[in-house]
Amino acid sequence: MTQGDASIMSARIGVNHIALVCKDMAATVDFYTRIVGLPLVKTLDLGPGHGQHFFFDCGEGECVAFFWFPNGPAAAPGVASQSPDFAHNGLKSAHGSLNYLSLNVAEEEFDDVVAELRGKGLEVREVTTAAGSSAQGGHLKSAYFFDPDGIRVEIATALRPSTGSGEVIPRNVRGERVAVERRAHVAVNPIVYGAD
Amino acid sequence: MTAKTRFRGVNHIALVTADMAETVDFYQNVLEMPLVKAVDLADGGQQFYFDCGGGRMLSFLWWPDAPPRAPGIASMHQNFAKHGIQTAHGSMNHLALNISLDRYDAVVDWLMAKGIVARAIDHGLFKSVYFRDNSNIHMEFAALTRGYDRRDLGTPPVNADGIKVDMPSGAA
Repeated sequence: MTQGDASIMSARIGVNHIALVCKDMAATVDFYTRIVGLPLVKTLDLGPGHGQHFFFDCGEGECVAFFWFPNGPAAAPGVASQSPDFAHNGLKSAHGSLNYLSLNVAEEEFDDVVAELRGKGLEVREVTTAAGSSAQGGHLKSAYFFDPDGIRVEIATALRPSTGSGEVIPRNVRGERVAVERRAHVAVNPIVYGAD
Repeated sequence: MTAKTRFRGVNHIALVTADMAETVDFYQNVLEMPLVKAVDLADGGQQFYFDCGGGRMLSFLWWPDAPPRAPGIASMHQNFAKHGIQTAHGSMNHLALNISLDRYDAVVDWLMAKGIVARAIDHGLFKSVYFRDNSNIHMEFAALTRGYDRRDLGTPPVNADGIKVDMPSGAA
């Protein structure tokens, strides 16, 4: 199929689930259902010694999912997730990691949702919507909280219509700006990146 | 069951890459996701956004001094058959993008035709195909075969010690 083939583009319908990892599935169920208000829709034992996989509905048919692993590695702030003290440590996390997850709310419901979460005792920090940050991040409004495992969850109204990307050239691993041509239908052969 | 959520799906998922140019080549040219936004950040980093369908975006961050890949901690080990699929508490283990069921076979063929090593697995509830991106992030395209219903809710959660406990009241 060719670049932009309508049949492939139309096959894509956003996110099915983002699979995260928790330390305590019961605490995670309590947090996401009672505090955040995401219905639990799927519970799964992975088999003896393999853990559990639970799914929460975050709207529009999409799910935030969690694994629980027996003997799962401890949280690694600044590596596997943002550091909670990012004001001092910066926002960085490791190559290949999730840095944060952003969920949509309707613009007219934003203030209500934030108030509701705060009413349940959750610390929700609002992000300034000053012109500078808005132009950079592109959000009309956003706020965020940390979940029990230190995952940063953003609450956002829809992004502004695209401001385009023509002006910003991506940087490579050495920090050099490298223009990337739009190439039709690139095959990678075979795709083997790095070695663990 | 908890009342319908006020959240309206994912806005974007922000991942971290070592090489934004390679990431643009992979997502824009290989996976054919339009690059819709690109920002130079005030802290010296970059953030690029790709359209992954349904109005959702997959976003990548780049910083000059982000920590190196941490297999088995911050992302799934490449050799998970040997090392297991576990990653750290608070990490993302994998990301499943949604595809329509009637296009599932076409998407698998399309990935294979790109030379991407992909594993197709029918889970019943989902038909999934797994592959890796250029950052070695474990990715999935998944098609739901039916809606979620009560038969999906039979398992009580475990606590931090792995002991099954009562389902918390919020999920009742």
